[in-house]
Amino acid sequence: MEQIIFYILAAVAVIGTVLAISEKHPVHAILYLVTSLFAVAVVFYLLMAPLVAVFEVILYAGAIMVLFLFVIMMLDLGHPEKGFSPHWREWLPALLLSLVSIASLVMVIVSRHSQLAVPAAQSIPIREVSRRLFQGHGVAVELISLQLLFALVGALYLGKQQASSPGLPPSSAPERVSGSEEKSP
Amino acid sequence: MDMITIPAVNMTPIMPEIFLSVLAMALLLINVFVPSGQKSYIGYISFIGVIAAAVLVGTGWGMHVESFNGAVVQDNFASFFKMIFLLAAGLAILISDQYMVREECNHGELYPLILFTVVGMMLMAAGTDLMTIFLGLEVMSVSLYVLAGFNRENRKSNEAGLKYFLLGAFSTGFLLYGMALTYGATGSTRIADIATFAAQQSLPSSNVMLLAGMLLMITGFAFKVAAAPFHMWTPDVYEGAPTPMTAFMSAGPKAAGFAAALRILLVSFSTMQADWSQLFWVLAVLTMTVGNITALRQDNIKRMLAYSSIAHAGYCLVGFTAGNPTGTAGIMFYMLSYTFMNIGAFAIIVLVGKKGEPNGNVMDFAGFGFKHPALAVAMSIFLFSLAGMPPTAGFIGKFYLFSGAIQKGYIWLAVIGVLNSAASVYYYLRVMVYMYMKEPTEEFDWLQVSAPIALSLLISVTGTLVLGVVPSIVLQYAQEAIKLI
Amino acid sequence: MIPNSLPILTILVFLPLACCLLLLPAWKRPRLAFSLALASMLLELALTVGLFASWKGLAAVQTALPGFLLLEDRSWIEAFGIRYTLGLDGISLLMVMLTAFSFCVAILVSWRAIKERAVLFLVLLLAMETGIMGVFLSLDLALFYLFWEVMLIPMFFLIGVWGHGRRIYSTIKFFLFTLFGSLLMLLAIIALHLFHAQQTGVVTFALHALLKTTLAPHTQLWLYAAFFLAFAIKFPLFPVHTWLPDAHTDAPTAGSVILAGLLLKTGSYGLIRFGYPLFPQAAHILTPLFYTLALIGIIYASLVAFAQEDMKRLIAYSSIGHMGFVAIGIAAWQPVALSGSIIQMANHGVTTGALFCLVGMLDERAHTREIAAFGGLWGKTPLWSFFFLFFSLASVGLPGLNNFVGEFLILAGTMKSSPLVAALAFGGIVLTLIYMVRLVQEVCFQEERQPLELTDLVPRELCLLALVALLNLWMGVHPAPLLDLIRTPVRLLIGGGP
Repeated sequence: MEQIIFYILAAVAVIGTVLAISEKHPVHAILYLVTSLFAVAVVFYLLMAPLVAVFEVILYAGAIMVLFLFVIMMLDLGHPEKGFSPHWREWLPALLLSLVSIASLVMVIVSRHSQLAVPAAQSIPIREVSRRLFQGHGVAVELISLQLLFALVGALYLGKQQASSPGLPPSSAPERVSGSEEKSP
Repeated sequence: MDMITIPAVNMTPIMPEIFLSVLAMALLLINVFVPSGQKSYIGYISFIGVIAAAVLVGTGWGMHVESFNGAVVQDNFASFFKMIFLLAAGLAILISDQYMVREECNHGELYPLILFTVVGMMLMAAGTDLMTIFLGLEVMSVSLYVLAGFNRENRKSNEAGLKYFLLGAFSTGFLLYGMALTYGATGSTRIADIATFAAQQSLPSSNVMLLAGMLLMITGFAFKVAAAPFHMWTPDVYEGAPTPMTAFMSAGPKAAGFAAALRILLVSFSTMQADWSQLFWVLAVLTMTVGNITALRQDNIKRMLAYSSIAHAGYCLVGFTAGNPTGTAGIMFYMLSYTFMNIGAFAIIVLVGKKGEPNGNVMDFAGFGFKHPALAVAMSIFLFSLAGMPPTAGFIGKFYLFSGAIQKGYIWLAVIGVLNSAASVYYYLRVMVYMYMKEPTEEFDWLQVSAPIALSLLISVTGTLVLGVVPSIVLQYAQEAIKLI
Repeated sequence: MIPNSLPILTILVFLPLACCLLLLPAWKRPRLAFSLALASMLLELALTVGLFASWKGLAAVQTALPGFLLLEDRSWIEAFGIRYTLGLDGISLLMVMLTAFSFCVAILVSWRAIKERAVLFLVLLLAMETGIMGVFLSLDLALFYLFWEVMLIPMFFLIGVWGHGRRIYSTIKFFLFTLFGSLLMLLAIIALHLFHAQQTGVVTFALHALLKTTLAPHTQLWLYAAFFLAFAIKFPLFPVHTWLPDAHTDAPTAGSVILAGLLLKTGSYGLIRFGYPLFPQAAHILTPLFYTLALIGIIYASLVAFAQEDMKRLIAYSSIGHMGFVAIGIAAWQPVALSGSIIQMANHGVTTGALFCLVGMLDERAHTREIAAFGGLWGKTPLWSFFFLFFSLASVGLPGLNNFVGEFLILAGTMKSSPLVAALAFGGIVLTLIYMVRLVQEVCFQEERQPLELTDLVPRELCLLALVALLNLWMGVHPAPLLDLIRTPVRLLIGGGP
């Protein structure tokens, strides 16, 4: 049963990402990305990694995507004039995908609670994660922090507009930060 | 409640990296207080820092220290490559100043970013864990994306940065997926553990997940070293990026990609050599041929050198295909030679370029040979070395690589290699034809040689010739370095 | 006569290169530079003549290798087993003398002709002398290859910068042709040393160690083919000769002298020194092919020479024909014919070099080399015409002049092993005679076709040509010292007594 759920969620994640790429409206694209990330979070939960699942939701679907939305709103790229009565074709896929993810999550939780055969000890606790991280991959942790610092420096540098060149695309800076963060964990 | 004990770690293996990171961060802070006309000083400090790091790397020669629970190692292999990176960075720093001042783009962030790229490359060479290698590669790449787009006023440079970023991210995806599959198949990201796992299998290539992991990793590295058919990004990025950064990109990151790929393939997948060497045979032939054939038709000299750098990666892949000590030591020697000769050639291009139009054409070199004889002779030395003519470093390098291939019985690969090498001579000669055999259309009176560029040219010419005439002084180190792997 | 402690061979090779550095301070003073360069070239010539005068004394002292008069051996790139080994035997001594001599001719003929960028010209000339000396003296295959490639680079610039006509096309063609062949030879050299290392465990490129490698017939054939291609392109044999007429026509006179006098000889020398001894069976198998190509070359070149309108191009084609004779002599691989080939190499260098000088001098005055532009020069420039006739006759093999000796020996030797080839080659001589006589007749004796203001030879040119002519005569009348010089090496190469 869990395998079937896994494949459904994987399909949701892929469809969500494809829609995020193909969607022209930036806000819609971000919302599709949120759907996709949420599906991935449920996959992590399914794989006995609740911590990562929680991180996925809090950090990615939560913090970063909201930040994106925030930036888009601030730069006024969101075309709010079109947002009052969206066509059903615009919201239905996102809704369906989210529903599938949520349904899967509910099914997993229910099945885990009803079948005691799946021991809770299998899931990896925070302590174990941090032990692995700091004992085995100390250098990696430090590297990531350095990398983020320099991604920030680079983004700041490229994003800083010169008085002489107003035409620079402002989108390049946040893109870079997102790119680095997306890959770093 | 028991505490998580953080194990005591031996910092020696990553001393140069720590040093450079701290220096880079310090320079970022200092940069804020340096007035905009005097950013050159940051460059000078970085250059001294690079020398100091080289001394640090040099003192560790011959030692074998594992640290961070097997995530990083200090061995001769890593040290040799670290020296190449530092050399590339040092030369790039030297030629950056004049270019950036001329293009009115002399921002202090440049030098810390270069240093940080070096940190990433060093960790790629020193990493013995897929995680370390991947993060090293990311650290390197993120800084390189910015460096490629460093001339933010220039559309081409913007394009280069964005293209490099998009395709770079794409290729990292491949690499990461490959690493994940390998981890899934073997249960470890430690290179040594993967090797142990693969050795226990009677027929490791029948393990589909492991095989797919290896193939995807090779694809990822092929992107990074610009091997055909994953080379499409190279010409645009190399053409658009600021010339000193193009020089740096063509030498340093390429060497880093080779270093990481060598360690992974030779240690982890040594039992599957029969599988990957066939793949590299095809990659090598494609890369050499595509690079050289396309370079024949380029008029823009940076594009030409970009395609030629694809071809040079192809020669190194010949060494990969051989996979024996001769071939792999050949790669190390070749990358060192390539660093000297290619950055040297780019230094001349920096000098010949004019403000606002820094991406010169081959025709711009018309009559250069008699207007600036010394610079033209230096350029000729670099070009002959790139073409693989004795007595230069390029010849010894190719000799080494092709010896490795013949030793392993890849006669046809070597034949295709030298035929390619003969074809490549044509486009290198073309530059010399313009320099010496065409009437000058320009007076080249804007051309000034600043002290740092003169120093970098001196280093490059000396390196190219010394490695060509008395290669023994470096060969023994390359051979020692490869022995331990 | 020459103290043994001096590394004479190293001096021979690197003296010109050292002189290059000396020229750099004279960058702005071309006259001084010319004198300096000439002085160093004369010093080289004196050294080689000194060696020639004392070779019997040197031969009395045994060196590590039989037949070699002088040897120098130092370690160089130990990691690859490449050593710096120079050796001088009779054949190389002859070639080295020819080199030193030809370079003196080349610089003297350029004395007034090269006005622009003169110092660079001299630097390249000197660098090339180093390369060619190195080719004739190296006994380590890797070292040989290094010099073999190095000598291309100055030639590339000589033709490209100071040439005429389609100089850029010609020089690139020349460079790519020769490079193509030599790169395949490089692979063969690497393969050969690996086979040797597998058999004996010793990593070396030394010729005398590699001679002992036993190779499977199949392998031997492939390796020999690679060597043969490289040498055939330099030779040049039909059908890879096409670079030569272009390069000769567009080269400056000095370039032509060196191309004809020396670069072509490196091909035949390489075949004698490396190709045949390293792969005797393969060479034997390919002998018919070698004969055929050489004969086609002789006849084809002669026929094409008939149709030429440019004097320089005509002489270039005659070069292909003459080198065809050298090829036949080598292919016979028989003491008399081989001696003939070696002598002929020197002869051809002297004679054809002189012919190119003469055409160059005429070109300087008339600014054309069209045969149709001249006529009746005998009356206007008698000295020039005399020398032109003299060297043309030498070129067609008039008895008493040098080419006769070589051609006679080659044909005599070949007659024993393959009479048919000798007969056909003799036909080639007749063809050569016809087109050379036609050339002389049209240029010197016909009615004047265009009114040209021509001055006769100046003393510098006269001295130069007179010296060459005397040498030519000496080699033709009294070749015994030269034959003595190469007797022992030829016997050792072939492995039997003449």
